[in-house]
Amino acid sequence: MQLRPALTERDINRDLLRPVLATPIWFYFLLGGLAIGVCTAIGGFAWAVNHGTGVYGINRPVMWGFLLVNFVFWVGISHAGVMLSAILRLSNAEWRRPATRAAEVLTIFALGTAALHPVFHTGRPWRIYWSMPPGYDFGRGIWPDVRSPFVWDPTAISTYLTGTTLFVILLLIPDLAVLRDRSSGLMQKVYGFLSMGWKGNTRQWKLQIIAGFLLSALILPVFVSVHSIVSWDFAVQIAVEGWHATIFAPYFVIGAVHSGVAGVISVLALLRWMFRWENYIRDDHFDALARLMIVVATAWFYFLVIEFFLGIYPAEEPEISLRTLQVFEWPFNATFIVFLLMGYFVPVPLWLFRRVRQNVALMFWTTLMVNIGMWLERFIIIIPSLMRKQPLTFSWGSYNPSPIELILVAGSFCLVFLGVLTFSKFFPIIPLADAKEGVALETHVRVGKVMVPAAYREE
Amino acid sequence: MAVERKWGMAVDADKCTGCQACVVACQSENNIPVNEPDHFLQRRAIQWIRIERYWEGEFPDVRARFVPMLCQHCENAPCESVCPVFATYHNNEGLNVQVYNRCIGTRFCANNDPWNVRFFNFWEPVWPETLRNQLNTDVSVRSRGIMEKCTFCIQRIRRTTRDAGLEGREVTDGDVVPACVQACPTNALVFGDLNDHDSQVAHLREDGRQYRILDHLGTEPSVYYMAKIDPYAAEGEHA
Amino acid sequence: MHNGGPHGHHVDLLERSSEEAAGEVLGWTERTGPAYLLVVLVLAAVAALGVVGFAMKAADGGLDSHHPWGYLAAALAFIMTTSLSAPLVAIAPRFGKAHWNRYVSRIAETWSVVGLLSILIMVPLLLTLPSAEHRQTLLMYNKVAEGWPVGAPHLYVALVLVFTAINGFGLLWASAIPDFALAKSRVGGLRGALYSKLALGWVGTKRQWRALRAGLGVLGALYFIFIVWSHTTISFDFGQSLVPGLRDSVFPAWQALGGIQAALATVIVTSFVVRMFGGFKEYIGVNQFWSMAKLMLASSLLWMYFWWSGFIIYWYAKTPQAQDFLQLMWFGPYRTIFIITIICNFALVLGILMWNPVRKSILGPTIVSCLIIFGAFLDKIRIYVGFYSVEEYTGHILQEVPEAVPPGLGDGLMVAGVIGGALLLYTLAIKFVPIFNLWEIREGSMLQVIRPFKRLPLKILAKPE
Repeated sequence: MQLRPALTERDINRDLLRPVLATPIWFYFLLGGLAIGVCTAIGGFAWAVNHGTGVYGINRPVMWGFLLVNFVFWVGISHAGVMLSAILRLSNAEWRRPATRAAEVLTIFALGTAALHPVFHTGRPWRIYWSMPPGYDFGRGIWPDVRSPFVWDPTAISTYLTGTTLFVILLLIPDLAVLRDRSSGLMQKVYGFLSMGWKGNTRQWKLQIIAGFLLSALILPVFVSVHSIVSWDFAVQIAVEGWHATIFAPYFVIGAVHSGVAGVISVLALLRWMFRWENYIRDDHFDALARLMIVVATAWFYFLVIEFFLGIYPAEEPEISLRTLQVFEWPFNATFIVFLLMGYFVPVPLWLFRRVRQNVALMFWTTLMVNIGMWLERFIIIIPSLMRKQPLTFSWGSYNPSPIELILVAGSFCLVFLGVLTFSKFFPIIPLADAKEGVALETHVRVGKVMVPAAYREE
Repeated sequence: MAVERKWGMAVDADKCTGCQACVVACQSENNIPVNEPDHFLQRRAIQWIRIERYWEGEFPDVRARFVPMLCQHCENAPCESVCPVFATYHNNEGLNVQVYNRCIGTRFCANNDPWNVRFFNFWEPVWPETLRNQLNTDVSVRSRGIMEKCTFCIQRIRRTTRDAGLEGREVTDGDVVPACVQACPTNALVFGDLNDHDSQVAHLREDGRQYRILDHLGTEPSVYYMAKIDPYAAEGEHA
Repeated sequence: MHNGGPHGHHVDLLERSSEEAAGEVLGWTERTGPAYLLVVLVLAAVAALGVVGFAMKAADGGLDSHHPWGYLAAALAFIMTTSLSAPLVAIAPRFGKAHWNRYVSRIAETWSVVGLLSILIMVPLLLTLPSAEHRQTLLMYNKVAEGWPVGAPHLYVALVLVFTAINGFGLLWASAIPDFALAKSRVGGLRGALYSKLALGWVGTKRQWRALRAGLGVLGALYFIFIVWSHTTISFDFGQSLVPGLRDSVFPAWQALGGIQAALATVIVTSFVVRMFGGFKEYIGVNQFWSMAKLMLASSLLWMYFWWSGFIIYWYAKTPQAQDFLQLMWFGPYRTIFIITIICNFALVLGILMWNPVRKSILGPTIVSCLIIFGAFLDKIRIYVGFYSVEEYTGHILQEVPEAVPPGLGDGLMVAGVIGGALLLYTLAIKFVPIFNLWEIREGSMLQVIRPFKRLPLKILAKPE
């Protein structure tokens, strides 16, 4: 059994507030580097606005390219937040404690970044508000068309973004009060304002806990709806045979959870290295998250297999040629192999070993692999299906990403990490209150000669 | 107008020689920018009507098949319901119309269009100086970032209807002639009102050779094709 | 879940020593009263009626084609969904290191004995299932004409079902080994000898425990995979592949999910019966029902979601084929059945179980479970009878949507017989395998302690790493 160091509340405050109150100098260099990436992407987008959508690699029939792939990827990553916070909170899993806020914050920034992609993607982004409810066009007196999945999308994403932001703010309040008491000057005013007069009395705690549970339960349907709707962007189309599958909604959701939880594990490993939080993000947390990953990954793999088999089963020509393209033709065959290996066949067998699950470096690299695999999965779903839409072979095409698209994709990664890091500069990214509660509820049960770690459980 | 019109076209694949006259006529009638070789290489050329050429048979017994392909103006157009801003909709003359200045360029309609007959303006359109004066004043020039497609030369439909109204007569079959139909040297293309039972196109619809492309999708296209009569053909499928 | 205030803390630890509990449970296992014998006789009679029903249909020339056997396929899918899925309720919480499942895990696992029946029903179904020529099978599309893979689809259905059954028996046996060892010293005679054989020389060394845990882990994971594949294969080979052109990829996953939902319902109802009529009120408490009800509510929501994600694709597509499938599957001849299914498996579940006081009771989850089982039964009838009645099962498109097929006498007897047979097998099994997992309960009592937290007595759950 592993010995857990005894942490006092003083230790917790000191360690977890360190990035906020005493920011190391390298941190600013990191932020600067990421900001350069983001600025490059802004430049790329400005270039695209100035010159026209032609600067992207899209063509006819591949009208949706890397930007949509990346959109789906970031929406997928954003599914980790609720998956971890809400479900694990509702099921009272002790090991959720250090991971929740990092997951939620990753959700917010991933989702915000994802929401930018339609702006990059459309031909006339300055008019994109017409597709976002209410989006009333006063000149013509027209509302958005609710039949289109592109109207469901902004609705679901904005709901999810609002819900998650409320969730984060709500759970931040006790920690903000701690920060208010430890800062000075302008920041004290800001933290004081944000902590909304938190004193930590029983009534406030009760309200906060009830609100947390309510938000957890209410946000779950939103969480499922977001990626379902993203999948329906594709699946409702009768013209693209590779997309027109009934399994798409659950398949996308489980794939999103797969990549999202993997993303959270990567971020936790990075945080642990950057801020030396070995006592907070412990090996057994990685162990529990990896066990969850095994289940999620296997469920996802089942959906993948079903989707694929039922795609080829009616043995219809266009579908067969599409699947042949996906699996056997360059460059998709290489992509497909890398995708399978990275998305499932390398990480999951490795996670079966406890020594891997409890090794932070290995967990970091395997979860990174999962996300490379999942990015490729979206690529394999979106691009080849468009290349061979229907039996009319005359219009079959191909696609090469343009440099601008690559810059925007890279910039989106910089933006998400910039967001998460900036957050961790101003707010504690491991919830203090949760950590303290965990320590307070932690105990041991003696079974024979062994002390088994245990926790008090309120029911 | 007693009965609502439903414009439609009949395409006789047997008469089509693949001469591309319709393509050029459409290009100049509808202010479509010149498709340079680069545009084709990038697969971004805009051709509201195009001749799809399929090869049939094994070498050396190879034959070319030509299928003029244009917007099918479906009754249940799959491209319409996916547009988030109603930029494409069905009007009461059976036309699938595109509202250029409402379009925001999601390209959703292009994806959900099985015939690949919707075109995106990747760049601001430009014409060589010498062609400036040939632009059709009845047709708006589309800006970049929006979709466009065959309109069945709606400007000609409108002009003919208006002129007929001024002259106090009904629009009869053959009055409205889109540019491609006008230019076709073999009369492979026939345009008219499908609701008018005496029109040529309505008669052709009853023809035994008639078929519609991707009919199984149930979108009810308004473009009817007449199968090729090929004395040498083994029983093969067209397109 | 937070329930506000210090009151209402339910503590469900067994108020007796493990020694007493073992005596009680093993004594109950051995005892067979007149009421029990009556139940066995009745169930045996019902099962026999099923054989009669089968004989009636077979004599009617039914073995020549698959069309008359829709109700039998529905019965097979029904016992796969309820009985054979039930062990999942033992497996999944064991992986999640939960403690509440210790009192119901054997109740759940014992359902795997119905695997025997599933193999029995499978035989006539496979005999009449049309060969894969001119149509497709899940594994290999048009290769069948070339004679490869051998025996598709029949061989693969058989393999999956047989492996599922064997795996289920293995799981039940493995989890009962320590209990058999405990029982062998307490009972004599043939039963004692059999227990002693089955205990495989268990003495409870550290090495044996480690092997048992590893074995349970592997068997559990395998069972999970096999049962999901059983649902997939059955819903595919006895369902979708008989309807030309139908390509509903969420359907197998939906059926598997229905299996998880019905598994929870089955275990809840069984627990209720064992609790009421077995006299084990102190063993199974509100906590068990509450925990299962929460999962059941979640699975019902997912069930509806899976259905919806299939429905919206067909409905939005509007193609003639999609409209035919909508008719065949949901809104055509089987509309009423479908609406009842939605009400039983989703609307009422949500309406009733959304209230925590109801979830946290014995009766609430039990009633909802009965609804779910009933709904699952209708669902299978709707699917398999409908799909079996499609006349023209080759080709690429569904030619016409068939009329509803009402059950004949033979069908009714057959379905009743299958359900009776499943119950009979279970009733016989619980008098041999102890109905409670004694070692898990004992382990649970070591890992759950009540200790005061500040002034409040709270339960402590220990999780060995």
